[in-house]
Amino acid sequence: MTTNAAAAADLFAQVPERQSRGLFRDAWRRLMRSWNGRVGLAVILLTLVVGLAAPIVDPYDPTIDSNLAIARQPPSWEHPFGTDRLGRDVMQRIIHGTRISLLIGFVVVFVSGSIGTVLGLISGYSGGFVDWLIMRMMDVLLAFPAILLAIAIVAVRGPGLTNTIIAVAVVGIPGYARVVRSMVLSLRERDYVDAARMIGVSDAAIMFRHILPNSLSPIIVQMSLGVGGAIIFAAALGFLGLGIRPPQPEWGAMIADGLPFLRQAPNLVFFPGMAIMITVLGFNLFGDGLRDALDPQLRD
Amino acid sequence: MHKRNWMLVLVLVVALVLGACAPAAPAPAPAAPPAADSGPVMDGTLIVGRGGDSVWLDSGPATDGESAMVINEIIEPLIRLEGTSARPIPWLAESWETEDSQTWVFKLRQGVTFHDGTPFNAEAVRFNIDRWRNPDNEYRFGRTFEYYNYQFGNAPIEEVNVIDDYTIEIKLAKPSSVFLAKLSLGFSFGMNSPTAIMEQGDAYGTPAGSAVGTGPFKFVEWIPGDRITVERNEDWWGPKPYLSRIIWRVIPDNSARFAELQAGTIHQAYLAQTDLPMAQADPNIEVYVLPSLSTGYIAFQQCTEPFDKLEVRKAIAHAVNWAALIPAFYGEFGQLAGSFQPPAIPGHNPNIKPYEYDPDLARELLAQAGLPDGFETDFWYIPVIRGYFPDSKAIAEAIAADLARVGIRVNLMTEDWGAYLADRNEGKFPMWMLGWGSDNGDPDNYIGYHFMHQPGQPKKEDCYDNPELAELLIQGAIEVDPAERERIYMRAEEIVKEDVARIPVVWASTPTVFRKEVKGYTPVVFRSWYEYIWIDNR
Amino acid sequence: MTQYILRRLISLIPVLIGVSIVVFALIRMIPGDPVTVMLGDRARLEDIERVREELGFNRPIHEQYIEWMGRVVRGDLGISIINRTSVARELRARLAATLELVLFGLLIGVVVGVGIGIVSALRRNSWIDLTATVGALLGVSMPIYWLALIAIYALAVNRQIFPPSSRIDATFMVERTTGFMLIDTLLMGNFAYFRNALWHLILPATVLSTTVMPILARLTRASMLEVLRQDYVRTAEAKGLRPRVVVIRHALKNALLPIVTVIGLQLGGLLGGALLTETIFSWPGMGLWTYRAILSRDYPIVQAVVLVSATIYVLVNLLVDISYAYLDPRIRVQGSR
Repeated sequence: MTTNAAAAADLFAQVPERQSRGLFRDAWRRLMRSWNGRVGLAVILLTLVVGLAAPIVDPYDPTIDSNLAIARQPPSWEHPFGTDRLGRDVMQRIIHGTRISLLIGFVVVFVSGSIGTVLGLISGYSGGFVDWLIMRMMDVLLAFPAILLAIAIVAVRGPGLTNTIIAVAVVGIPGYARVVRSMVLSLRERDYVDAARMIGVSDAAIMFRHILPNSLSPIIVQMSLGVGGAIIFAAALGFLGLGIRPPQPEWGAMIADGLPFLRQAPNLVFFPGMAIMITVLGFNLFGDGLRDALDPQLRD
Repeated sequence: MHKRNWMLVLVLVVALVLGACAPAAPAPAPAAPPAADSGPVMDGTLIVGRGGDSVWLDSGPATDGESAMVINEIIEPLIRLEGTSARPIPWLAESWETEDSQTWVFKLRQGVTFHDGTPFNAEAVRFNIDRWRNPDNEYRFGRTFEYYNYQFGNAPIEEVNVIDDYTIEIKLAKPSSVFLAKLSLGFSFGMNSPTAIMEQGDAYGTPAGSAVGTGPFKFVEWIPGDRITVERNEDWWGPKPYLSRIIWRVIPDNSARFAELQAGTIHQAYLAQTDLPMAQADPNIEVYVLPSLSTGYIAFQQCTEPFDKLEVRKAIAHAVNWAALIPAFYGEFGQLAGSFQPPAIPGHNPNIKPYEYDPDLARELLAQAGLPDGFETDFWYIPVIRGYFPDSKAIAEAIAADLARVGIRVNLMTEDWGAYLADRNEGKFPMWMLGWGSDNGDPDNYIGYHFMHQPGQPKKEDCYDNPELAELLIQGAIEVDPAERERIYMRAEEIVKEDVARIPVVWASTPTVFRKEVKGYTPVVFRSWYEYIWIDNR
Repeated sequence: MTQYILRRLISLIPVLIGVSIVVFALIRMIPGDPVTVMLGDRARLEDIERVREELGFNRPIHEQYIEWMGRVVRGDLGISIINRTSVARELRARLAATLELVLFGLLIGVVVGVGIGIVSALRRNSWIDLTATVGALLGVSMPIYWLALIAIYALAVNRQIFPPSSRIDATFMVERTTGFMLIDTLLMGNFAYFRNALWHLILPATVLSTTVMPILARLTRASMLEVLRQDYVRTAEAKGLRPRVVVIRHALKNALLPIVTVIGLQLGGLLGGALLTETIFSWPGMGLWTYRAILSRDYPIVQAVVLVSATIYVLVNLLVDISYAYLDPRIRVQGSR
């Protein structure tokens, strides 16, 4: 799903000429004027606040939070989303699950974003065999069915937070590498790069000081869309029983836990899914707004 | 019988006790199908919905319930156990005699043919038995005959002699009073057509080949992961079955399976425990409850810390509110376990009561063990749904919660089922859950299977060694006198309880669920007797 | 053009070799042994050793790989370790089931997505446009297995409008000629069967279509709007041509290329979505089969499925590139990006 976002960004992103602080400030202003940017940011901030504040406001130990006497209660004033099979408050678990999902989303994007960016930079800048090799490796990752790759990685390394992050991050790498490489290819032949090369600036310096800053905006767009993709993807692993260990309140696993009760208690399936949808929606809206803001010509 | 098939356990054997409880048992189910108001209806297709596919349709290597329920209709054993009691009744063998319980002579039913037209005779029996017992038999195709190894491991079949076309003599290495009960396991000791096995080679019993027996239904097709179809054997030696076809469909999702049952697109379904109350409430569905023949338990690795200490095991037994698990996860289909064996198994000890829920006592015991602040360990839960642990993850979470309250922090772990069983056998789990369903209602197959070891040579899985228990169980497997055996196993139950060798959690019972238009079913423990079932849409 | 296609075809080979190496190595790194899984918990050590020997698991891994590749090149995908069936035979049946679902889902996605795109462009900023935009955003933000569950709950369980599982009623005996239920039932000339198969297909395919529908709707809308701004549209209108027809025809022509691209790029997502959708709807395709195969370490199945899906993926993307090159000759000269 990260690759979808990559594809979309690839498709829509055009290469801006030169960027400066001013341009980013303009972009921010444009972002804040667009409805999707505003709503997206609001949702993200909300989930961030919920995710960060929950453990402080409501110290929660998922291990001892069970009370079989109140298992599977329908939504009520006391338990707005009902209680699950072990009598745990579904809303409380969703709230505490926010942190897990956000953590996965951000770390995955950071990891796959930085690895993919570095690979894309190297690939685009050096060309030749290195380029060929890296791009073929990326093709291999893209051609490998993403969900199967992730399942296999978790099967190899065992379930848990770190391994979920690794599995989802690996799947996302090629998207970034491709976007960055195409940026590099178009920037490589620019005058200022030639000039830098002529006065003896090292390759690494050219890559990181001159080319990277100029290809930031598509990377940023890609990353903001990627957070949502990573959250959905990680939840799918959790749903398949391959994610984070119980009794951690992971949203995908909560849906799977509710599955046997779909008929009697659809709330157990409904609310965790809503949590995923709203969070991902926030990141998608924000990413959309950001893309439009960074590239004003694209807006209709 | 760990592998998937605790269901079949009920459908299979058991209940020497059931027999004992009803000494004047009525005529067996097969002999007299219950009279219906309107009389049986010929023809019709019965569709059964289940969660998983069969593994083998080869009587011998099959071990799981999904395979057994199909094999039982196609392939037949020499003996079957009567439905309402554990009394052996003639099946492919018409009669038998023995003087010392070691040498057995069977007279075979004459005029029976396999579905491929070849005759059933003493040679066919010898072919099948040789395939079970001889690891070098060329028709095993690398398959493991697990059930033979384990049912006959202590007293293997030593000799099979064909006396004439319809007489066969079987010699055991040691006398066995439960030989007939063992032979009645049709899914592993049924008679396959030797010709079919030789012709099909290693495709036999797989979706690439077929299954050929003498049973009331013939194999039609097997689409893996989707369905298996059988049709009526018009030439069956018994009365003509009413159904013209049976289809077993694989519907992995529980809700979807239940929805299809309600919609009437399937007639019988293996349902999740959680759907049973709704099924009972549905006027179109009948839920038949059979007696409990299975135990869900918690076990420990007793050679390593901290479970080497009796106090720690006791602490765990008292730290968890086991009684609260029953209404929450089993409803009326489970009973809080006292002794290891459920009441239907001989040697069940009614004096053994469940552990009392007493967290303070648990903390005290931990302090005595030198662990006043508790400890941390891995607790493995099964990755599959079993009647004895219908929602293993949630049950494990509930147990973990209670343990955390006395300071025992467990990491909940699981892995693929095959790997789970393998690692458990290797003794890699410090603490784990598993369960057992009886194969033949005999205590040697119950408490005996779990705790049998040579004194001083504990099994790897739990490293549990108790010389007195070891002696008792070895003796129990040979003892012929029922009263003496009962006494042996009742004492064995006491030792298991004293040592907290394993903590029995629940005795679970299996429901069978049909739509109401399915008639002719008798809720008995051995098999479903599909040949007496019909569908009445009138 | 032929030379271009040939060059691109050759460039696929290292990618597929790479995929085969990765899957071969990765699945062997999963702890545990398929032989133990196959023989069960009461197997004897001698049996385990013997079967390992027979299956060649004792040989060096590169030898095993070369032998496997040699057989794959000859079209032999091996035998399932767990239930001894021919992988190629079962793969054909399951691939057909998955493709039927994916293609039908794609069809729904394209028709509805493009339709929504056209309408929202023509009625820009109307409530239809707004609803479509929000709907599209919700669509991409929803976990597909969750949507599938909600759909089953609402339309198959709570109200039994659609069947909740499988491809056709179990009592219908279908001759499997192509493996595509819709085609096979038509070949039998049995319309009752065909209707029944279609009825089973609609719900899962619609759920699956949500993976492509939003993007297609947005793409179509964007290219429509672009066309609406063009001068020739105004000219055409001035000439008295019926404006709607002109606009739609031009817009679709414009949108065709990006739509084709998106379909190629989304294929991976569609197959992944199909895996999850199949799981929920008990659809006997590749999804559940492969998932189980990974967990039980049934190497031949996993290897075959990954290799076949990767081949489909690269070939479809090659087709996309070729159609691009066909429509835009500059790409041919540049070669691959």
